[in-house]
Order: sequence, then structure tokens, then C-alpha cells
Amino acid sequence: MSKHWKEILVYICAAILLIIRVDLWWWGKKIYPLVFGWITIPMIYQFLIWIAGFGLVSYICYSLWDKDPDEV
Amino acid sequence: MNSQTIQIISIIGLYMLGCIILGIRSYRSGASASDYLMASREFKFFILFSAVFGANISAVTLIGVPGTSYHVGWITWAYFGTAWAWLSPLLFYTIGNRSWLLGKKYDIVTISELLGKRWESKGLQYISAIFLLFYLIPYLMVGVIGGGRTVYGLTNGLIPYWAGALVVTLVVCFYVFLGGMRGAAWVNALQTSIFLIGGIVIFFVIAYSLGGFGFATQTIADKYPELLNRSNMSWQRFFSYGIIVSLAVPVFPNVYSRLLTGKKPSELKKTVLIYPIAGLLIFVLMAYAGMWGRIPIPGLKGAASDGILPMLLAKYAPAWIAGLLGAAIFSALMSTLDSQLIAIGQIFLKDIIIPVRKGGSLKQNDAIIGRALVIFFAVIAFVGALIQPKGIINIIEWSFGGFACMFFPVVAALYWKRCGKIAVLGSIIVSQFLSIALPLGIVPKSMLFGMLPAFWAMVGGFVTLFILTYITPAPNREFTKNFFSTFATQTAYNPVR
Repeated sequence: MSKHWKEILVYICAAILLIIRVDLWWWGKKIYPLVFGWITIPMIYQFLIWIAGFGLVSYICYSLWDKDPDEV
Repeated sequence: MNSQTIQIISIIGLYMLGCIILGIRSYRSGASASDYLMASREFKFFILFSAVFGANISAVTLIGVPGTSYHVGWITWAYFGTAWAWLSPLLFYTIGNRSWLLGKKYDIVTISELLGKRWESKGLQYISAIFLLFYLIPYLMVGVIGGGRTVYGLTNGLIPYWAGALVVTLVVCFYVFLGGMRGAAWVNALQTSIFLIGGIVIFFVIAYSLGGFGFATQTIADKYPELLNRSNMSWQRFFSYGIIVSLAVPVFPNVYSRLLTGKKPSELKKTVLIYPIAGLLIFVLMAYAGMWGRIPIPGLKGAASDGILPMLLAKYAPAWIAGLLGAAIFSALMSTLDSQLIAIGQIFLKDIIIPVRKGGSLKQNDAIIGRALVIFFAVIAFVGALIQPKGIINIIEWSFGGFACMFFPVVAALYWKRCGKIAVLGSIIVSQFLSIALPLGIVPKSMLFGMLPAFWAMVGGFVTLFILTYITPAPNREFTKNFFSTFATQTAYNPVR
């Protein structure tokens, strides 16, 4: 796959993340902290969205961004 | 004046002194205008990261986020963190990398300059510059307002609001006047370290004082369940703001120009990689601290909650930690303020003064004009701040929306060969009209479907750009080919000067 299409794939993944970060199924529902007494399931879900987004950023940096001539 | 207040003022005073010393050290006698405005594009990773992150993190983070989470709960960190924290850095690659290459080749500094040079249109450059200034100037006031309120809150009103606002204005003016972009970036390195470390300390102090993370959150679940279940924020707002803020940040005039100051693209790459971590961290810390603040200090109405962190620390923390909070807040707001002052100077010089000048290039003594502009707009920000317009978040959201409307024109400039200047001009005019008119209520609120007005302004701008691109003539093929040749790998690192 060419770099161009890989970039497009990254942007499609980013758009999907932006949509699914709205966890409508939990929105406004009564939520109790489950993990360590202070973390709720929607909090973990939002954190996972961030992890996935960070994964895209890392992929861009390590695989798609051209290296400088002197970059290791 | 009691000993607590003296300790707080001393720590803030030490911080201000640090800014002044760095400003003096960054001064280059006889520096060119280009060096004053862009620090000769020589920043390495840490300074570049601090300059970009500092420009981005403002009073919103340390004042507005705790204040908002006091009313709506933990979702405030996700409001920013699960979109902006990773999407804006991703877009730094999309926009920043290509702009850096163009900056080297064409000496581009501002967004309007990019648009003007891409389509060989001074008209486009002027119009986009006017819109950028239109949003940048009110945004400038936010930092000064935050400074005044912080000093007032931390000293229990002993130091009046206007005096705090004046100190912030004078110190920022001093180091930007002396060192320009370099002075601001060096000070930003200090400021970024302070607000990240300060944020961590404040978070733990507040959690500990309220009986630990678990106890504080359980109390919130029992007494204020709406702060956990997010019923105080609509999903439409959450969705649309995530998009607006993420797309706006790379085209903030003060952030954009800093993306071009790296010595090499790899310096920007390292910045992009670390950005999401720092972004998430600071928002998580501030959002939880603000939400937990509802337990000991209930009943704050509206923008009064913007002062929740100083109130909490005045109640629970030793004076030196309250002083650290003051320094952290000042760091966040001053790092944005300095970048905005420089951005305004860049826009005036590069987009308004130089295009009408014979020869059309920067002169050695333009740094004097840059410095005069810094002082002039600092005075305007201070006077505006004395009026104290309502809620910091409101001003920011309005400006964010206006900047976000520039996203698609900038992407078109960098990626879309077929796109012409009429399409871009039409897109800017339509989106900016909607961005200004929709919040005024010309369209019934029900027709916005719960989304923020800026979301529809961006959609309107994009649709206009798309349609006009295909019904208006394509730009000059030869010029476009030459412009896009900048991105070919073999010429990218050896730009034609």
C-alpha cells in the first residue's frame, strides 16, 4: 500500500474514533465508580479512545513521516 | 498582609523574575526582523515542544477546565483529551510538516501568507489576515483577565484585579519586547515545566485533602451523580466541540507559526509524539480537581466556579502550594499571551505592511515595528480585560470556532491542486459569516440540532469549498506544479532559496 493510501486510512480511523468517542449508550445513565473506587467504565472507554488516537499518532511518526537525512 | 499572602506573592514574584531573566538573556543586539519573529527557525525538540504546547495551553486549562468540571463533571477531560490531545498533534503532521517545507522555501510565517502565496493573491491574504486578527484580539484578553482574577483570588482580594492584570501584561511585554520569538520560547520552556509539575502537585494535594481519589469520587457519586453520568453536558456539544477544537488548534495563528520554527522536521516529529501524553495529563488532573472541588465548596454559580482551584488551595494547602498554583496558572496563561502577541505582530508585518511595500520583503529594522506592535496590542488587551467580558470559556469557544473555519482552506492549500482562490475565498467568507451570525441567533437554535454553531460554520465552509472548486477555473498549472514540488522528498531537505 502506498504512503498516500496509508495516510488516508489513518484519517478514516481518526474520523471513526471521533464518532465512537460519543458513547451514547452510557450517556446520562446512572454510573458508579468500579475500579479503585473512583474510575467508571465510561472513563475507561474514553481512555481507550485516547490510546487508539495515540496509536495513530505513533504510527504516523514512526512509519509515515519522512526521516531527516541525519535521523536514526 | 499576613505571612500566607507574603509567601504566595513571593513565589509568584520569583516566577516573574525567572521570566524577566530569561527575557534579558534571549535578547540579541541588532537581531533581524526574521530572527525577532521566528528565532531564525532554529528550535530543537524541547524548546519547540514548550513553545507549541505553551501557546496551546492557556487559562482555559488551569481556570476554565476546573471551573467547567465543577458543573459538568469528569467528562471535561474527555471533552478535550479524547479528541484534541491526539488529533491536533496528528494534524500537526498533516499541516505542520508541509508548511515547514514551504516556510523554508518561501519564508512563510502566517496562515494568510500561506494562502496568499499558494494562490498568488494579495486579496486573499488581506481578507484571511483580517479574520485571524478579528478572533485573535479578543482571545488576547483572556490571558490578562485570568491573571487579574488569579492574583485577586490567591491574595483574597488584597491585590486588586487590575493590578494582577497589569503585572501579567508588563512582564509578558518585557520578555517579548526584548527577545521576540526566542525570548517567548525560552520562557515557555520554564512555564511548561511549571504548569505540568504544578498541575501534578495540585492534583495530589486536593485528592489527599478530600480523603483520597476513591472517597472523593464516591462522595460525588452519592451527592452529585450528574457529575459522573454526564447529564449536564449534551452529547452533541461533546461531539461537535471535539471536532472544532481539534481542527482549530493547528490553524491557531500563534500555534501555526511555531510549528515552523523547528530546526528540522524531526524536531516537530518528536513534539508530535510527546504532545498527546502531556495534553491528556494536564486535562485529567485539572478536570478531577475541579469536580472534587464541588464537595467542600458547593453552590458556586456560573463563571464563579472559574476560581475553584485557588479557593480549594486557600482552604487546604500550605501557602507555598497556593503560590505554586499561582505560578502554574500564570505560566499557562502567559505562554499563550506571548504567542498571541507575536502572532499579531507577524500578521501585521507579513500580511498587511510588507505586501504594500515596494520590494515586498522584511527589512532589518522591521524588528522595531514588531516591538511597537507588541506594546500597542498589549495595551489593548489590558484595557479590554478591565471591561471583563463574561466567562473565559465563552470567549475561547467563539475564537476557536473562527479559527477552525480556516482549517479546510489551509488543507486545500497544502494538498488540493485543483482548488482555486475563488473557492477558498468563498469558503472563508461563508464559514466566517456563519461563525459570526449563528451565535447571534439568526437561525433558530433548534436548527443547529444541538451542535455548536462553529460546527455548522465549518460544514458550510467545506461544502462551499468543494462546490466552488469544481465550478471555477483551476489555478495556473505551472505555478501549482512548482509549488507542490516543494514536497517532493528529494528537494524537501535542500530547499531552493
